[in-house]
Amino acid sequence: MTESQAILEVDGLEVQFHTDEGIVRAVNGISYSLKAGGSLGIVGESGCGKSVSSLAVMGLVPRPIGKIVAGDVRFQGQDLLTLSPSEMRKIRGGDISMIFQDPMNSLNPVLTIGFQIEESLRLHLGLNKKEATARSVELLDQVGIPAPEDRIKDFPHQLSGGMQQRVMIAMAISCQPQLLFADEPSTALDVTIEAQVIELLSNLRRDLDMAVVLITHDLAVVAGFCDEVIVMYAGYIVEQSSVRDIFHNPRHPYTIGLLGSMPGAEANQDDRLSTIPGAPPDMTALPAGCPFAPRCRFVQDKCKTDLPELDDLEPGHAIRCFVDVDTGDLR
Amino acid sequence: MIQETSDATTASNNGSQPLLEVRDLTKHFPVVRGTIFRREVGQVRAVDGINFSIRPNETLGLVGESGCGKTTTGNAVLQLETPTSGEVIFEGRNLVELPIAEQRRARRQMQMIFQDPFGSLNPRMTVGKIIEEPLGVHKIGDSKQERRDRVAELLHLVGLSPNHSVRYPHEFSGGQRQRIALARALAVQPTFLVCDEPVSALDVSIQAQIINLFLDLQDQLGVAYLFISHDLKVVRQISDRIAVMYLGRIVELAPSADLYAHPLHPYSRALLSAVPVLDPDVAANRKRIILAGDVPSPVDPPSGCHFHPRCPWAEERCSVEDPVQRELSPGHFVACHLAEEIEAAGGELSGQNNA
Repeated sequence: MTESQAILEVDGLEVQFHTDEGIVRAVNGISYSLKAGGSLGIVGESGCGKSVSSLAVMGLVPRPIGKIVAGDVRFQGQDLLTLSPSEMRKIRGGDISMIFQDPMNSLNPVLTIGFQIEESLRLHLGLNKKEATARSVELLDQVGIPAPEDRIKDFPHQLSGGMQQRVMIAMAISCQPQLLFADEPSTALDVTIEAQVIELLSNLRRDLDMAVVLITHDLAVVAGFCDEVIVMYAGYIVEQSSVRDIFHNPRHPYTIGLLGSMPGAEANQDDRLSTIPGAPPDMTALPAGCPFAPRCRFVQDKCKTDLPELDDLEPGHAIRCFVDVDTGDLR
Repeated sequence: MIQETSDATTASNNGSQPLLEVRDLTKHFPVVRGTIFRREVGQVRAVDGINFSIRPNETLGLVGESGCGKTTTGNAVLQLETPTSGEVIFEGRNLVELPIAEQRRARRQMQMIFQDPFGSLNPRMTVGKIIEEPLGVHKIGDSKQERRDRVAELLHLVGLSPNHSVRYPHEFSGGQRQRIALARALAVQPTFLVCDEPVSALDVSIQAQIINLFLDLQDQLGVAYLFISHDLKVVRQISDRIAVMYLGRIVELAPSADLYAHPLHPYSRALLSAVPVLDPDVAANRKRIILAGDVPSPVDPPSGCHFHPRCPWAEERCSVEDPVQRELSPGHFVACHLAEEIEAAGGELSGQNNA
């Protein structure tokens, strides 16, 4: 990635939630940049901070319990964190757009889907009713919904889950965004429908030249979609590289463990899966040192006391780990 | 639809008798309209005449998309739903015809694991009480101490510690709760477990731990599983044989390796090609069959082969004739008129249907 073309630059982002149980350190200083038209996958398990980090970029961290305590977010050179709520609203849904996991709960059940798509067209692009309706029909057609002129009169419950997700995508691309966040866009869908939605997203990305951040727990979805990958654990980036390196040359013990846990991986053709013991840490009381150390099979004494930095192994491939996984010794 | 014969399937496994045999099982739910004058306006044909058998110590995977009838199949096998017709023969007895009291007794041998580890454990009972309850229901264990020992043994078996028995379900994570559900199911020493999406709600690293636990328990206890899941990768990992369901029918049934290497039914081909692969190079180059449209409603399933409206190879006869099951290679059953022709064409699309 060359810095000059970067459409989105996130630097040292930290997000915390103040809850009754204590301070949840959800995101602990993540940095990445994304070039125009690029695609980045953010992978990790529940609670690793992958969704929160993206909500923070869009200014959607729930207040007052959530707070961005440090970091910079630059979108096309503009610092998003210093914008007023009304300025942010102009960008969100316009140049930056998003899709969520659960289309059933993301659409308003008492409004027709036509109305919901037209709403953003009228707000962001200032189209009148007639133009907005015509554009909605075009958009539904573009995302592969048959007979769109009839469908715009439907309510969300009249559509299947896959169709609802297509409507969400139509809404997300309605203002031709430069950047799209897709948070588990296919997780709630059946296998054949998931394939349709991912195919649709890749075609739209190419046709509209839009950068996409795909947030998912499923490494296999990333393999077919993204150029760059970030693996997150306990609010930290533990590995960051090109998609080929993540799958062919993973260097962080967590990435290796995660790949080994996937049924259908090369190493798992026979009986048992190679697993990671234990469970992710309590985010209100992260262990000193590396957060993965209690589950890591390469763990050294140093890992229990010191937090490793995110170091470049080679240009474009960074890990947050002291250990060389080939030898099992400190690097 | 598949008419699997017991001779054909048991032949491969040292001739042992099937533990469970399901014959022509159907379950239709009436669709009713009106409040005072209720009338039936249609039927949801959730399960529409399916046949399969499971041997002791074997895992049969049942895969399909939402609404294909896989959960209803599991419920009907356990008699949690009364089948509309058909037979469920468990250890030589047809459960459908047994009186309720006898059914309950038989059900001691057949237990269930549910998808949602948060909804399936009573939040007001301690883990010890939860696991002990089935022992009381089935009158197993004489003294309190005997039952308590059994609970400790079961907790150990599923990888938890005996002192977890005084805690409540909310104190446990999803993976641990699924272990508790397993301990409860195994309390009465069943020979057969219906597992309905047992790992779908879990994170990847935890899911792998639970899959391994299922495999370990099978080795130790010789229990058979009907493993229901929409996740083809999980099913492949755990199953000896796999049945693929579509709209209430089994379209293909084969040993797992065989099914993954040589899927014969067009739906299985599409389903397998839609599974995301873990290698970006393979992902970029492989051919995928992306099916058009959604699964039709089971209220009014398509005529002939239920899959024909979405099938890229469909011909005219597919919309008229119900395909019957045929055994194309040993133990590999498929219900498709054109299976051989598609195989001969190397699974490539041809003619005007090419998408």
